[in-house]
Amino acid sequence: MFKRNLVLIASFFQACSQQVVETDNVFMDNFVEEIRLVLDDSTSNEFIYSQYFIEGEEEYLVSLNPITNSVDKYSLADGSLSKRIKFHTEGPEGINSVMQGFTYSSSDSIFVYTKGSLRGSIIINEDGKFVKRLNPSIDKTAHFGLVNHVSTAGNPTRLFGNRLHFMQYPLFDVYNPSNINKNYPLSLEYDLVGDEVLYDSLITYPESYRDKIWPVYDLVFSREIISDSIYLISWPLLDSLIWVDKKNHKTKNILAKSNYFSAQQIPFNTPPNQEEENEMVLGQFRYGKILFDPYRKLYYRMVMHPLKETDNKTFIPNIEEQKFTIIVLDENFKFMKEVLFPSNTYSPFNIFIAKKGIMLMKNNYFDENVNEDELVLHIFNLEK
Amino acid sequence: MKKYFLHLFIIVLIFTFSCRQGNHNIEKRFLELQKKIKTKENRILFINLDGCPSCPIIYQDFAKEFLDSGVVVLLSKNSKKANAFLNLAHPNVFYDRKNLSAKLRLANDLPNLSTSRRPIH
Repeated sequence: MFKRNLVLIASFFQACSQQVVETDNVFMDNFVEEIRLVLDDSTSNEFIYSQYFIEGEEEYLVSLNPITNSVDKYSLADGSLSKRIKFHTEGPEGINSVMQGFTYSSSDSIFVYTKGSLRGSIIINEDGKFVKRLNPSIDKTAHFGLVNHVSTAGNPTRLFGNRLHFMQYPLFDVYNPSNINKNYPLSLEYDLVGDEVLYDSLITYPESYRDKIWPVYDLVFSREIISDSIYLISWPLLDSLIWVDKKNHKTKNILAKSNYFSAQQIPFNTPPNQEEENEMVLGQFRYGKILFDPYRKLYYRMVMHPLKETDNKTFIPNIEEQKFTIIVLDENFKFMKEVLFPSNTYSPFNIFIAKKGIMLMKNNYFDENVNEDELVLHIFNLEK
Repeated sequence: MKKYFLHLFIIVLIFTFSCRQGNHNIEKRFLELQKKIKTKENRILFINLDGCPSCPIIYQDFAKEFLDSGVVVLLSKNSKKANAFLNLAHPNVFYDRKNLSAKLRLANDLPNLSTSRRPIH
């Protein structure tokens, strides 16, 4: 009897260790190269607001530096700081409030945003010269004339022609189920010529979300802007992606499901407290960022894997303790593979597409071996 | 009637006891932190720079002024960010890289001030 149990236990251990080995091999099989950015004493390695930019053949990682109040351009060829573009934080040409993101659109159009508002955001050029302040004339009857603009790596604000395409966070009680409806526009455009904000009625909360109570983190989507009229959206609790065709005023669902789980949609019955929210989002699978790789014509969708222990943990920073997978889809959204990445190693937020592959930052909050004087980037080719 | 007052008395006793216990625990944890960061200051301002991205801008002036009357504990994994907020070499600044004060349940995501009623030795 004892022997039989011992064999059973041994096979369990064997199965577990086998799994780890397979995982490690699979993700490193796709490794292409490591790039080290050299950081000075005034640069934190967090790179919370950052963006990939290609200029001719030269590739850059551009970052908003809140210590030096500058937009820093790092060359991906040698990891050096190729340009620091300083801007004012006071006066008529300065950004006079807390900063929240930026868009490096071109050398003469660099947008630096204020937190929670479009008004007051500025445009500078690569010489640090002030170009324009955003001062939208907004319909005051719509949401009291307030626009809670936000630009993150998962949902970056982008410029197409004369229009900034951006998303906004809610300005209402998110735990009131009736507020989760089809009327609140999540996606907006800012016309730089007319200084006006245009609401996009196509992107609202998905049908299965409406009139229910969800963790606040599940109400944030990731969007890839394919063109000025085509968006691809990933919601944390939907197995499908939503393809938005603005020109033809159409949307369609495209299945992009993980092999690890099926999205469960179990809303709260009553408004949750913080512990309940954190437990739900950290203790269960969630879909994350969606990316389009124009070099290889592939789509990537992130999946965050649950933590076993969620006690006394909060979404930020403990989301960085989670393992994650990246689902790889071909240009027709056919499932190719799903690659597992380890916990406590990479940032799950800042992931970009470079010429050689998908670029991950090795600055995880829980990695005690991170050197503050450099930012290590790992590039993987998931096409193989 | 007697029974009613007895119940009321027990409830009041329970509430009083739980409050004392809570305060006592906070005092104990506060003292533990004082020992760990080697300070006798009874006023400690906790600022979690990683939990609150806006804090480095909103609370910088307040934190600088606070240094005249107490200790500022800065929680962050990033020493450059912490040093840009307050000079880490200042004797009244403690850089809490290992989140000691959060583990002792004294610091929150948002800045908070803790004071002790114990006399300064």
